[in-house]
Amino acid sequence: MVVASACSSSNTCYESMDSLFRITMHKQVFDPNLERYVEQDFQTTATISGLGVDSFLYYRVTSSQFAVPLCKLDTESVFLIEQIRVVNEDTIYAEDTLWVEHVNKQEFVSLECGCATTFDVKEIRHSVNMIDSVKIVAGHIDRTNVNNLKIFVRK
Amino acid sequence: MRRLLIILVLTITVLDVAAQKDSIVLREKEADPNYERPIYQGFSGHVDILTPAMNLIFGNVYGTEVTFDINLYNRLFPLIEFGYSDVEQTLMNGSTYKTNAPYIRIGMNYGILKPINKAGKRRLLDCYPYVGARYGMAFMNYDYTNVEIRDEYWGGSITTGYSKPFAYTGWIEIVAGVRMNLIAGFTMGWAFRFRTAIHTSAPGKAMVWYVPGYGKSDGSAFTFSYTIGYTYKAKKVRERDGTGMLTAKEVKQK
Repeated sequence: MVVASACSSSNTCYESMDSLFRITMHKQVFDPNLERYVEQDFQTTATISGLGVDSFLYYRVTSSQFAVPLCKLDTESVFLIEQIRVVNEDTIYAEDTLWVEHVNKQEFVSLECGCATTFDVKEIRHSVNMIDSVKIVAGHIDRTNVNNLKIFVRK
Repeated sequence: MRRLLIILVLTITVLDVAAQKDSIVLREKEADPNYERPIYQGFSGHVDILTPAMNLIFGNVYGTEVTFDINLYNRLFPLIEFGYSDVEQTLMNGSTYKTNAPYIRIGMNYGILKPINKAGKRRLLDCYPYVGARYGMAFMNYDYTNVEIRDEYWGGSITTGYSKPFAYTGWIEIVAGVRMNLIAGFTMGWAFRFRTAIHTSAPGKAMVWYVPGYGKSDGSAFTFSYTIGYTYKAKKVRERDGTGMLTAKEVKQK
């Protein structure tokens, strides 16, 4: 019996194996109509890198959404987030540290692709230079495109 | 009310005509030229000789399979197929998959050619084209070794492995083939098979990378088989055919 697979793949993995920790930036603004503070998306120019890693994940990228990889082989990932703001024609650089403790789980996907790592966030700590507070939206991080963390920045 | 009565009468008439047609069909079936008597015509056993040959060439799938079928009416061939495969495959990424498992298929072939011609005479068929269907099952264990987990950004890598002592995997096959009489009861055959609808008790199809009796699990598959074997005709059929395949004892009795 000779087998000839139809619609089958070669030895190459075609799936995305990245489980990314997705962060959105927000600020609290006072809504006079509602007479309370409401949440608003906040575009920032940020440089993000992992602590102890030479390469940047983002370099002076202006956005309100960022996706960063957690460490697959360790249970904590530390990110340095530098935000640039222009206030009264002065450029302000403020660097924060975001510390994420997580539980890792390796899930076998296929022989070609190997394993995908999923994470469950246990705890998040941060410095308070430009970051005001954080909120975990979805503590489970897998290959789906789901927002995991909201960062509220200082005004 | 009148309209309802008309509909009722028409319905009864239609049902009555249908019932008459059914009884005609039934009577015709009793003397159906498509199905040769006696019911039991014999049985045959075949062994796949292509798989071992291909193993010698490619060397990563070892095994073969045998088929047993019963000939009913010279038209219907209920069958069972047994096989065993031992597979070891290492990909370019270094990951290795191993499985060795028996498998079984049950199904039926249907002879395309009518055994009796329009004139009511028996055809002497030396070549039987057929179509058929099978349901296949593999009862397998599998091992993945040397699966690398690499962290591209943070750096570092580890290797891991997975194994499962038992998983059931099933699938469906559509078959088209030919069987030919050779000499003295020996027959050979070849067939194209289309395999699809694979399902498994493993956590996912990807977990059973290669299924014995099916092939790679990531899609449908076309396969080709070549078999050789022996067909034993029932005594009544041998006597009728006068094929000279009687045993010495049977010849004396005759």
